[in-house]
Amino acid sequence: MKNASNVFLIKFAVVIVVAFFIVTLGPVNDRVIVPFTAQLSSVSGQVLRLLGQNVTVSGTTIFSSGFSVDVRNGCNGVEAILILVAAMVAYPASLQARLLGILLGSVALEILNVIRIVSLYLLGFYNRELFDLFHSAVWQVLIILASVGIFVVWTIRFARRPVRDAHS
Amino acid sequence: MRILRGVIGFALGLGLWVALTPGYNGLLSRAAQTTVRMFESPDITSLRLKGREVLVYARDAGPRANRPGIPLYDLTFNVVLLTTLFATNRRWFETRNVVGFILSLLLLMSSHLFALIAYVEDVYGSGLAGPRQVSAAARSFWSNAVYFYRLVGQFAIPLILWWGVTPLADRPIPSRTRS
Repeated sequence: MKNASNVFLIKFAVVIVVAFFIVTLGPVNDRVIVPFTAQLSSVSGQVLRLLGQNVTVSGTTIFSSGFSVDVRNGCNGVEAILILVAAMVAYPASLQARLLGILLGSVALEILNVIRIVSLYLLGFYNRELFDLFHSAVWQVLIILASVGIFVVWTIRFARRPVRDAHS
Repeated sequence: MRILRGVIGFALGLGLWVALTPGYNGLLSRAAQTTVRMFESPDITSLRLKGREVLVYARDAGPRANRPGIPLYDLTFNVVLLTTLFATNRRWFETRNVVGFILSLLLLMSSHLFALIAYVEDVYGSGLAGPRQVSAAARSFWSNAVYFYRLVGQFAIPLILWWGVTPLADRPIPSRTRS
């Protein structure tokens, strides 16, 4: 059991490093990450307008006369998705279970991330000190804990089957 | 119960981080300055705290040179993540868990030191703190190290430490080999 645990840990670390290098490739960053982040900013801007905020979105920046936020890597939820992907790839499960877990988990994380961006904008607009605390620590930890939580729920769901069924 | 313990661990970790960070940042910047200087001749790097940042002063850069700031708070908040993860363990106040937490904390602090050194070298590599001879390979290494730490390293390190130290029976994740 200890050996299986170490294998998971090594696989997790390797996948994290590989995923990092894929994400940082110029074409991937320019054609996937940046447009995705702009879409995320656009959705967050729409939610803020629904909440009565007079904001404009330009690329990855959400701004108004009172405050602006630029959504970058580290704030777009990609880091939490990479953690989730690495954990699900490293954990023994069927390909179908992995794909389903990654897809649903990523959607859930990005929904949470929109809540993060909206709440950070509102905090920055109304209380700059709280913004710093929530931006630096609270939300970054919560989003990773959400990623871990999704992984735990996923393992409980898929670990019920015997190991021989899991490897496919 | 795990969730409740996690919430308590998160609150405790956040409170301790907020209270201890100013002092810890001072220690961290002094340790990073000492380490960076060990590889310099002559000693030119000086790291000075200013608010939430540490400023990089290169003595050979002249009085009007840029003093790039490194956001220290963004570097160390993963202590809260580590505290929360260890708090979710079943026997969270047992000696084994507490010792594991302290060991992991020490390793995490070492990663903070390495991350700050990487930031300083990256500042030099990008020419922000004045002219300095940095090879393309070194520039690329430090730049990637900083980006890796910021994007995934700062989260993956506490997770790996927690997973590596916590006994199998105390983890929330079932072992596939059990069945």
